Parts: sequence; structure tokens; C-alpha cells
Amino acid sequence: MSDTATAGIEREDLRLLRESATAFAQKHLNPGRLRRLRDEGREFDREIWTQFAELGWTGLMISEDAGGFGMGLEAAAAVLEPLGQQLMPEPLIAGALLPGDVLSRCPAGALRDRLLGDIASGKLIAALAWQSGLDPFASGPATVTASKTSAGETLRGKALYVMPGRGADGYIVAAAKEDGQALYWIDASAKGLTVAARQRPDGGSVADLTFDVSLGTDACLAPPDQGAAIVAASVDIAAILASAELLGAIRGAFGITIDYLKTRKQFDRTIGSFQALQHRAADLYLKQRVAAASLAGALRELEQAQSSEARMRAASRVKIRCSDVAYQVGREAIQLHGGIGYTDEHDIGLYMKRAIVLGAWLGNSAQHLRRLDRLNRQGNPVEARS
Amino acid sequence: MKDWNAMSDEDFRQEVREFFAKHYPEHLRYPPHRLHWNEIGDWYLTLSKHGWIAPAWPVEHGGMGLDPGKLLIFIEEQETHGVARTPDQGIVMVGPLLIQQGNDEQKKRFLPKILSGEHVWCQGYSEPNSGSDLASLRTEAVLDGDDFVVNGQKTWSTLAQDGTHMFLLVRTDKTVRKQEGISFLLVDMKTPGITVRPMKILDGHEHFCEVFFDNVRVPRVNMVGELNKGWSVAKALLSFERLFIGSPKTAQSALTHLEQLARLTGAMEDATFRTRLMRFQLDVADLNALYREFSEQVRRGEKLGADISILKIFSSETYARIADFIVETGGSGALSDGPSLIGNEQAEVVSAFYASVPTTIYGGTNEIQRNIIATGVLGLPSS
Repeated sequence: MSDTATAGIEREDLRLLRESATAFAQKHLNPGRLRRLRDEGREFDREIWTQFAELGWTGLMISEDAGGFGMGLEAAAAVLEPLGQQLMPEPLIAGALLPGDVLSRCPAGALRDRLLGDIASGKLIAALAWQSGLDPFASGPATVTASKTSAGETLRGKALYVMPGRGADGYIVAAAKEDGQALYWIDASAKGLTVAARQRPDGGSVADLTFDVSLGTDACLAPPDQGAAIVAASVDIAAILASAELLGAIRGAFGITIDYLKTRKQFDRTIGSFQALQHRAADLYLKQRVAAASLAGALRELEQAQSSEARMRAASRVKIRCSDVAYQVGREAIQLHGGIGYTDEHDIGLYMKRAIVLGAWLGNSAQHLRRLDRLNRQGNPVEARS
Repeated sequence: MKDWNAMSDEDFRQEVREFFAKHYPEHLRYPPHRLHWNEIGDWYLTLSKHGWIAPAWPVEHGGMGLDPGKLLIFIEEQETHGVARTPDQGIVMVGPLLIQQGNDEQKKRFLPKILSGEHVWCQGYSEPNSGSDLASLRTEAVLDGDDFVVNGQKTWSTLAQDGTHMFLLVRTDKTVRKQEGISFLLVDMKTPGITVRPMKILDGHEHFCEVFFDNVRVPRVNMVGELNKGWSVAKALLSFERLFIGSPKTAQSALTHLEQLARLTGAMEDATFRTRLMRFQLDVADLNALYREFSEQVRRGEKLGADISILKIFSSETYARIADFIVETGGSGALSDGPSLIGNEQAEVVSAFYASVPTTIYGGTNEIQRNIIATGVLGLPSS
């Protein structure tokens, strides 16, 4: 797979994908379902996951040779936006698209090929365990290490903020070695693996993993000279996908709020007729349109990206924008709802919580800004982009 | 005729960059305020001679026919090089309007002279008592034989003292709903009865004019569209105007100004400054992307909707925020109303503020734009 992880796709195909995702989301997903799954302690639904796979979504970016559809990033973004708008609880990015992208960049091999096929078929939900601290881009001491033993290798240490926290069948683990960072596959049932899962604000889960695991020689997915670059590239791609899901959440929160302004009456008037609120609604609309333009711009940039630096810039640009707008729109939407917006029974708060989670995942806007600053300081000033 | 759109983006960028470097007068780079015809007219004629004066017009009418991506590159290079804005209302307003709504005779008469620089256009919309409520305008035109006779007063006419022609909204029926009694006229500024009085603005320059009409005779053939249908002509023009003033041009030029100032002051060493600068760079990048969406709509031949107002808001407010940051970054340099000595060079500080102030007011204030979005796009009830 190329560094840009995009494949040429026709406008018409994109439109059809978007339409089918919209129809599916309207029929099967909604904020109430997320709340119910959360309250039942189930988090997400494996049957719906199977349907995702049947629709081709779990393998959307996986090549056809490996059992997927090879349709690229733009297609995945087109599907994620309507799913995000209905607050899909299923971890489509974390459990399929991100690990699929990582595996696609790993050298071919029996293990890799099996995992890719199983992700595409929906049989396998995988997770990437790569973070060692609060800032995914800060270079700190490695917290997971791999060392040679007579029978193979041993993995020791702790990986933080792994998603999905519950429900993953196995993990791609980034581990430090003397000569770099290698990637390994560990089954969820592996001896010596502890998963400490916590509930996220949006009803999903995040986990810290502790390893003291012995591995056979066949568990290595990428050698130490490749692992770090693979993870960095895939995390950028996933950040763009998360931006598309955020854009959906922005649209959802905005739509609910405009509906509320049109129906809620106080002082014998529809509150949406008050100019003070109209101007705030106009500003939310503007932010939503800017976020959408930013995503389109980042996808165009990535299509032309020739370097890992261009890829980083495209990812940071849109992740900063969509994270910030989703947070701002969520907070303002609650305010425009008044007291009812602060209750768990109203959907608007669920949108805000999703904005917090997706905003913080894969680098929040401040962390992406610091990364951009480091790129600029390396002597590559930002060019204006479209 | 060269097919610009067939070039690669990089080749096109290179060619535009070289063109500006070769032809644009060095002493006119990064002007702190809007230039008059006697200062910038030669540049207009240079662009005209090379066929570069109308980048967005279709090729069959004498433009470069640039697609939105190429047009954005053109704008970026122009602003990075510090190329001044020309008296361009013929290019960005009248031309596109006549191409869309003018009759063949009007197109033949006016378009070539806009391209050649023989005609320089100015606008006659606002009146002292008709600002945001433009449709209440009272400058009157009464038919007398083959002519209209115009009486009244227009204001905020940008660079009207340099204009050879004005496009003008007039009241032609006082008995109907205010929007239904307006017509759209093209007027030669040499016609007897027209008085132009320049007005000083905040930066001390004469940027706007008041224009008085005293029994001014305008041939009926100079009317665009039908009698009393001028409001819809004006509205079509307003969406061109919002697209034009929504272009990333001004924000881009302010960003260049800010970056130059930062290099002189050493502000780039400050992490807080860099963070704020990056946010503005991202805003301008996303403004580019938003502008592109609307430009592509125009290029596909679709009518612009009421949502074009967000572009005007985002563009002008991004510009104003960058201008405010320039004033802050300039520190004591803001004590000078002209250039200050910063580092070893002369640099302007307050000029960015002056230039940005009218952008949130003209073309419909940003408050009016928000009203339009609320009722015209979001369907909220009128207040």
C-alpha cells in the first residue's frame, strides 16, 4: 500500500457508499441504541458488526488480494460520516480500519494475511496497542519491550489507552527493541496478558494492557526497522477517519439543535425567532461547513502527498479542526437546549461526550499543533493549502 | 490561447510566480492601502496586455477560464508576492453579471472595454438612509422618451473618483413593495449632472465617495434586465460580490504581513506566538477549501445559494482576527500611523487594522449575513 493509503475512486461510487451508509445508519443506529447498549453493559453489538462486514465496511481499505475492497480512505470517510451522525457505538475505526491499515503496511506473511482476511470478514476485532503516555506524539521512554528468549521472545510492560478496551479478539502491540520498534500479534486470550478496561465518557471503553507474555517466533508482524513508521502512518490515516466520524457527530448535534430551536416555545414565541439565538445558530452552521471543507481539503492534500511530512500535515490540519469544532458545537448545543441538555435522557449530551472521546483520541488538537510546530521548526514552513 | 487548466499545479504556480516577479513593479509590492488608478493603472494595462486581467472569466469572453484549484493558486501567488488590488469592479462584478444577465448588445459594448481598461467601474448601491436595508433606496429614475432621468444620492462608492462608469440601483416604481420597484442601470460618469465627492476614511485616504445625481439622463438601453426587476439582478450580483469578498485573498495577504512582521520582531522564537500563527494558517487553509467549494459550484453553472454568506463571514472575520494579531505583534510600532522601524526595516502595523475594518461591514454587514443564514438557510422563523 502506498504511503497515502488512498486509491482512485469514482464520484459515483462514493455517492452510493454514502447513501447506503446513511440508509443503514437511519435504520439500525441512533443515540438511543448507544444509551441502551451502554446501560446493558454491552457497549456494542457483534451482530451489527457482522452486517458491517457483509456491507464491506470492515475491509473497505484492505486490498482485494487480502480479502477486502481496496477502496481507500475517501470511501471510508464517506461511510464514517453518516455512521458518526447516528453515534455508532461499534468501533469501526479502532477495531477494523486502523488495525487493517497497520497490517496492510506490514510485510506479507501467513499471520498478517490471515488477520487481514479475518478483519475483512468480520470474524476478528483487533486493536492497536501503541501508546505509552498522554501525548501520542511525544517521544518518551518505551513502556513495552521485547527481548529474545530461547523459545522466541518475551513482551513485558504496559500499553496505555487501547481502544476498543473491551471486545477485542487480539492486539497489534508496538514493542521497543534495541534496534527500533517491532510489531507483534497477541491473542486476547494469551497467557500473561492483563486487560484493565475503563468506561469512556461516550459509553465505549478504553484499556491499559499489561504484558508478561512469551511469544513464538511467528508472532512478529513487522521488524524493528519498520514498526514505528508503520504505526505513525496508520495513526495519521486513522486521525483523518476519526475526523470524518467527528464531522458526522457535528452534523448530528447541529441538526438536533436546529430542530429544538424550531419547536421549543417560551414567552409565547418559538425560541429560534430570537435574533441572539439565530446568530449563534448561524455560527454553528459556519463551523460545521468549515469542518467539512477541512476534511475535503485534507483528503485532496493526502491524495497528492509525496512525503510522510505532507501526510502528517494533512492529518493534523483536519484533526485539529474537527476536534475543536465538535467540542465547540457540542457545548454550544447543550447551552441552546437549556436544562434538558444536561440530562442523560436527552441525546444532545451523548454527542458532546463522543466529541470529547474522538477529540482526545489519536492526538488532540493541542498535541497536533505541537507536532505541526515541530515540523515547521525543522525548517519546512507551511505552504498555503486548499 | 493557452489552456491553463491542462497544466500541472506546480507548473502553473511556477509560471504565475515568474510572471509576477518579471512584470509587477517592485515599489508597489505590499502596499499598505488600496491604490488609485494613477498608481496602479499601469499594472491593470500590463495584465490586460498579457490576457491575465480576468482570471476567472470564461475563455470565450476573454478571460483565463481558470478552474477553482488554479484560481486559488493564482490568488496565493498574488498575495505572497504582495501584488496590489486593481480597480477591479468591472472584472469581478459587472463582467460576470453581464455574462450572466446582459443582452448581446450590452456584452459587446462593455466586456471588451473592461478587459482593455478603457472602462473603470464603480458601484452605486448604498444611500445615506439605505444601508443594511438596501431595498429602501430612494434615488429615482423616471422614463422620459428613450432616457431615464436620475435624481438622488449614492454613498460608499469605492474609488468612484477614478471610475468612468457606475452600475447603479434606482427606484422606478414607488407604488409597489420596495423590492419590486427597483431597476439596474449602467451610467457613464461623464454624463452632465453627476457630482463626485470623495470621503476620507479612518486611514486618512480618500477611498469612498458620495455621488450626487441631478437630472442625469441615462439611455434606456443601459438598463440590465427588465424594468422593476433590478432587485433580482442586484441579488445575483451580491452573490458574486460575496464570493469575491469571501475569497481568501485578504486573509492571505494579512497572513503574509504577519509572517514578515514576525521575522522582523523575533516573535517566531516565542512558542505562544507560533501556536497562534499556526491556528491562523489553518484557518486560511480551510478558508481556501471553503472558497473552492463555492467556486466549483459557480464553475458547474449552478446558482449560488444563501449559504454563500458563511464564506463572507469566515473570510472577513479571519482577516480581522489576523489584523488584530498584527497590531498586537507590532507592539509599540502601532504608535506610528505609517511605517515604523522594526528590526532594521520599515514595516507597517496599523494599516492592517484599517484595511480589515470595512470588510465586516461592506457587502452586507456580518450581522445581516447571519440573519440570512438563520432564516434563508436554516429555516428559523423571522424575528
